[in-house]
Amino acid sequence: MTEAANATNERALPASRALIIELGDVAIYVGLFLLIAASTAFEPTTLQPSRLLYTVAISLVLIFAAVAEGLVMLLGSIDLAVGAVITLVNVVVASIVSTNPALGIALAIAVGCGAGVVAGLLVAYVRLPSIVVTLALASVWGGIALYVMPTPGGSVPALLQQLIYGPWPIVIVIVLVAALYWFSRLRLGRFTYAAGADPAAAFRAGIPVERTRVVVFGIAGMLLGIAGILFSALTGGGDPLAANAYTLPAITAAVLGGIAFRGGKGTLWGAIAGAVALTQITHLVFFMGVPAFYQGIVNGALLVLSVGISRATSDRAIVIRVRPMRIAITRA
Amino acid sequence: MLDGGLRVVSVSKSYGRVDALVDVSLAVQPGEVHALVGENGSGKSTLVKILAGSVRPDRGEIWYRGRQLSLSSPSHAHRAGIATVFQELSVIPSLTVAENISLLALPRTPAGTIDRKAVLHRAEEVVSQYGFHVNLDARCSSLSVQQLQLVELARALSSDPNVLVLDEATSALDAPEAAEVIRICRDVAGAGRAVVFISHRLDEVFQVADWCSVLRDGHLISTRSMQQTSRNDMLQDLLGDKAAAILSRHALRVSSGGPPLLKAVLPRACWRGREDVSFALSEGEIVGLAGLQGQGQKEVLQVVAGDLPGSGKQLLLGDRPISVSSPADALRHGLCYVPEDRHRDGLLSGHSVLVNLTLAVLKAVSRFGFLNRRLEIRLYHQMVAQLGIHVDSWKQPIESLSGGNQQKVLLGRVLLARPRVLLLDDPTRGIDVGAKADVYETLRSLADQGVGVLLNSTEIKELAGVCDRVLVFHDRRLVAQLAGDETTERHLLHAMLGESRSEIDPRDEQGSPQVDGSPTRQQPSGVST
Repeated sequence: MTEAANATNERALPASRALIIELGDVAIYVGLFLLIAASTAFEPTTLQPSRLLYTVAISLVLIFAAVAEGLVMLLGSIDLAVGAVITLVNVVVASIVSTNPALGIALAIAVGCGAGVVAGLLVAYVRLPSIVVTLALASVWGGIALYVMPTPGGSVPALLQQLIYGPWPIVIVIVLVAALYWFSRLRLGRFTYAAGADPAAAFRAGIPVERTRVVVFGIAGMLLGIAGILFSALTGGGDPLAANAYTLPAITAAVLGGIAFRGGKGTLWGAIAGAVALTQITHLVFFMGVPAFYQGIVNGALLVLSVGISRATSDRAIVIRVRPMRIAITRA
Repeated sequence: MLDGGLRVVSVSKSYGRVDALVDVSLAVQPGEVHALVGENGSGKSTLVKILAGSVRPDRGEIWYRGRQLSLSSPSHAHRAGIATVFQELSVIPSLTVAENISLLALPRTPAGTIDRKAVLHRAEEVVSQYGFHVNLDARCSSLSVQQLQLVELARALSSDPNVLVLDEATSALDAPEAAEVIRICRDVAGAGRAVVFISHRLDEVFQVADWCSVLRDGHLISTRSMQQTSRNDMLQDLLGDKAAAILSRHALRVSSGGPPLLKAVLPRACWRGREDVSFALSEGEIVGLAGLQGQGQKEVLQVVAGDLPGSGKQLLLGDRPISVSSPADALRHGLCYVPEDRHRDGLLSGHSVLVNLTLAVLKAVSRFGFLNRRLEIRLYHQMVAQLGIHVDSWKQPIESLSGGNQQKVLLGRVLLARPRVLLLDDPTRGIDVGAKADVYETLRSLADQGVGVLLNSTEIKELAGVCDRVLVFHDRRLVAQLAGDETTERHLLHAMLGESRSEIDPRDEQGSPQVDGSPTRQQPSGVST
């Protein structure tokens, strides 16, 4: 029906320009706005600059985890090792480098990237399903983390710990947003969307689907390396178990942000907004006096809810035509 | 009198702007086999889907024994006594033959578990009643496609249907199995049931049917009693009025025969054929690949395009051997490929026209890895103008375009890559007449610029109208090469049906299995292995 209608419109309005906004891509910003409005009603201090800075600071690890997860999900895969890689990076940084911040950053990114490339190679060339590969690797990385540091301890270079204070969290997020813009303009970005939307079609169009998978898994790993540094900065030491709980929230944040499980759909900025929203929801639930052990229930329910929202908004777009002026929500 | 059987009354169905069926009426009496024939896209499969309850008609009614049926789902159709065997298999590999046969009504024990004895008993009844040769205890995963097709048929019969619909159920079968299906069809009709039989093979239709209806472009052209019908009458109905054909072949045809461009030697294993095949393509030449469904012509194209691995193949581009193991390799050498099913294999759905258009040339439109959006948009405008694509904006999602415009975007994608050889798999399937004509014109103008085109098509008209030379496949062999005056619809159809050409064209013997170049023109001879 819609297809036929659209086809007729094309003929009728050959020259008019239309602005097309994917509903799935913008839903999170509307949601985040409503959430902040609601938070302000409960807690008037929400909008104070220092509080906003604090919110961003405690969201940082999840932001990087969600963007890494979002990248992998754009490929049509999933990464269940997000928490385990952050943990591994955390214990490596805390036990090996306690003084040299540059070495710490380099090592963290190398460890994260290595972990990502291993998963990427298994998924792309051995053709194993990513859900199995990353679940198994999560167990492996967790084991190595326990070997490196059996009990919490170690220390993090003092300079790195400064990363979550002052204006740094905002600076980091701005750099990330810019880097994601850069990624979206890269050929690699287009390859990622194409390989995720339809690997067979991308292959037949001559796109190196396998290589794209490995590279993207590697980049996601680097982002997890950064998440590991930020987590270390937050905790000031190493803990072989603490960061494991990041996997589910990372997936939830990416889905909240409009990234589809089936791949090739959504924006990575959405994942950032999703991570901030999820952190704020967690905070709000806590502020309302709900006991901490309900947090898991809230997280799980949110994931299911966000998948539902993503279904409802997927393939729908707001089409704004200038001449003749018309705004419509259509099924793409 | 008509109230005894199945009646289809003035059924119409359209998809978007394409009319799949227009006011089609049929009557099938109990005890009769009614054949339905037509080219691809003629509306046969839409009619079958309507009978099977998986598609609802826009207008029209279905009656059975004086009662109007509302076929709103496959289970409705099943309950109404209409059983359909589709060409695509729906057998569950992990179950046994007996379990698959009784799958739709598995007998249960009082405890609610499946009654294995009853399952076997029910399957035995069906199999012995119609004389199937299958082992009931075998797992379906161990059977050949041919045997599975028989299991599918047995399953349809196990529900004791009043109407049996076979949708090209014989197309995957060799002669002995096809003969068995035909015998079973006659038995089913003999038992007082109505049978609707769809086939590409005219021989089978003449063997099995009492009546035959011909569909063309969604219209019912004729319903004839087989006893009073000749082969020529049927061919005339199938192909239609040649004068009215959109393609005036002589207007489009330009004599060609430039220097050799691509030579291919494909050992039989690599295209799953029965014999090795070799052929050559010259600059500016449009070569067609023809055959009934599944004769190997599609695989030949896919192997050349790198879409199938095809180990052991040899490709020479000009005089240079090239190695093509993926479509990306092919693209690097200027072999540009447009796969058949644009929805499944070609387009990135949910993405914009621009993303879909520039997918194959991302390297060329980027610098240091960055995409140059301005250049992309310029190429978009260039292609929209060149191919006449009807589109609002480059941001528009590809699904919002009509089928013909989607296909033009795919064609534009490969044109941007500046092809030396264009490999097309059924590029005009399901698109409207105007868009088809645009596509043909584009192909011819590319050929005039020296591009070689290899075109696999399921439309005889298209092959006859567009191609300079046609390679015809039958029984997974290259059986004939037709060129020049021989590329008529009639010659093609005869060759595709595997019939000797001597009765129509005494100059030539029956197509030799391995033909190098064209027999009637000064073509470069094929590559020797």
